[in-house]
Amino acid sequence: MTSKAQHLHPIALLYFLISDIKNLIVPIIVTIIGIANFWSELPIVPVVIVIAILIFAMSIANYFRFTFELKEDEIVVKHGIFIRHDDHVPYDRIQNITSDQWFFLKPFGVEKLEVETASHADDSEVSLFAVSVDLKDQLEKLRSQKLSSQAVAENNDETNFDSSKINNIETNNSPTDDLGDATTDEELAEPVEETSSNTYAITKKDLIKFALTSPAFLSGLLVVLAAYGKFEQAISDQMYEYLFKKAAHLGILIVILIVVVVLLLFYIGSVLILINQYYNFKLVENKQQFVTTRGFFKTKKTTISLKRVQAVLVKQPLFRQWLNIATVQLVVISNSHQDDTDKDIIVMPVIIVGKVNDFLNQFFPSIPVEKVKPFKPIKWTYYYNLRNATLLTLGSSAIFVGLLFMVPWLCVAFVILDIAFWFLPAIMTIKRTKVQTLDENYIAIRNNRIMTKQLVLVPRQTIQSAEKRQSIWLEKKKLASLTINLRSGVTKRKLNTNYQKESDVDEILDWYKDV
Amino acid sequence: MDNVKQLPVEIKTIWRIRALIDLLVWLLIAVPFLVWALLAPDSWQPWLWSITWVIAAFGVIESLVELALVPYHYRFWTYYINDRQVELHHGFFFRKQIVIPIARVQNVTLIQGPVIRLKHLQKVKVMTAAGGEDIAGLKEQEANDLKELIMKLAKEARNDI
Repeated sequence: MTSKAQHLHPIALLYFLISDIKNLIVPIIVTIIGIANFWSELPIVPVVIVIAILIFAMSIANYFRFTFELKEDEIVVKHGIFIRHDDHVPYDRIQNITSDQWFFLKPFGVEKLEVETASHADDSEVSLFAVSVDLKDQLEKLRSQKLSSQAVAENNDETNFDSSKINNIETNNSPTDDLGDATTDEELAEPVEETSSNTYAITKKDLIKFALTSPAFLSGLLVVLAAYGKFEQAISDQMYEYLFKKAAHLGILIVILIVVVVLLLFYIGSVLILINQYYNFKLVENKQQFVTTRGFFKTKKTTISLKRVQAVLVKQPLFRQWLNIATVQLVVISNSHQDDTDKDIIVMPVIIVGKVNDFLNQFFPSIPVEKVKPFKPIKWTYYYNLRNATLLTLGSSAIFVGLLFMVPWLCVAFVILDIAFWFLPAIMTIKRTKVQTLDENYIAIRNNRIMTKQLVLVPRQTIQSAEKRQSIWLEKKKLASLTINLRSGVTKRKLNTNYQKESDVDEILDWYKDV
Repeated sequence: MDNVKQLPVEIKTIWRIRALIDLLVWLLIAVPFLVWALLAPDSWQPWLWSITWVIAAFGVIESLVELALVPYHYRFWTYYINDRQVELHHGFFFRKQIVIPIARVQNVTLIQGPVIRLKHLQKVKVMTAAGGEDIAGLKEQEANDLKELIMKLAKEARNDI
């Protein structure tokens, strides 16, 4: 299939205009002020008009230089006025396709399309600012054609998420067969749009639960606190003292009230942002691809090829654990430079823990998730984790006491906080860490990250390397630690499990080596 | 190539030379303080002298420890390659065993710095999609063979990301 080079939808002119203004506004203002310093009678109005016309002309030129073309096996994008770019992306190298559509673009039937490959580029290789909504389907069709023709060629493809999937699609076309005897969620009973596709759509209730239980507001608060730290350095001591006196007049209750209000505002803000982001969340699985759709003001659609999925993650932050709900995410290869937690693609924002297995069975029938069983940690795991926590507590408490010994009550408060800070995660780590082989293709790694409980289901194919660590003292106790390296985003993801039974670790290594 | 191998004996010399180079670097850091101490007014002298001595002493101790550990590192640094995976082992008191399946190898890099070149060795980096691992030094011929072998096997067991 070949098509001619096309321009973007004319609405893209607005994008170019806005981005040009964004890029140029600061340097232009600085230059104008600089010139005005020397030449006081600078005719401001005409200058501004001339600059505006120039920017406008530039955007138009940008728009007309920007073309894209769907060739037989690649997409070609040409852009740039002075420096001309020719980007070629072969369909079979595409990792993820993302589209987002602001609500005001809906009437025009256009959206922004981003195509990612596994390269180490900073942004997605291809961003098409305003193209018809049909283009995404076209592109996906081209890509899946390429991929399936390859899959046929590589008859004896190694077992992966997708290859088992291919068989599945070939052998049975009804999605309910994948479920087996599993009971289906009510939400899942939504009419299926396309044949042989799996669908999940979030309910309003679940969305609100998800937003209310997200710890995201804490990270937002940390950012603000860090900014405040910088701000604090900038204001003078006198000013600070003055404010402090004022605050002292207000009394401790009012200060506490202010803190509570600020926290509450952050919390409400983050809840609203999350509701906006995950509004109408929908997951569709069709022919080796996952498509998620979400967003209120901006509808974001992400397509992930199953072939690119590196691991499945079931996560439970503390709040969600109290409510017995979890989130399911995918570790994928992408251009993302974000933190681990941000770049994992959410395929299931909120689900009752008891239904996680059903969900996984529905969308990942090849993972024998029932084999993940509760376990009892061994006593040496307790011993080593608690020993480490004790040492860290002693060390940091000693520093606090050394610094604050004049104020005994503050000292005591800090030491209590310190104990909680080291021991709570340690206890969670003990209870939540376990490595286990599920079958010849999958392992399950359970661990704890600060306060978040994690279950990672990893196929052999995506494990880049494995590492066993042990000291002679651990050997005597038949303990060892295991690290599994995966690819995630543009970097690696380490999955650590410390102080495990040596037999468990060896079992994983043997399983891994027996390719 | 189907048994556990040790690094070539020459690597010990390399590690020793490295330890001496580290010592030299520490002493070079100490020299400016020494010069300053000689030129500075009397009141500063004790401070500057002690800084000089601390840096120099630290450098000497560090290099001595490094030198002392050379046989230990050598003895407990082994690798093993078969047609499925590369395995690296190091350490005795703290042990590490790293497994990289050949099918996961993205590329192999051979690096030769000036010191390692003296003994005709090469450092081998085995890279995967999630970082890589080093083999500290192999004889040039051996490194080349290894590279050829891994790349040949990797081509057969191709599994692209």
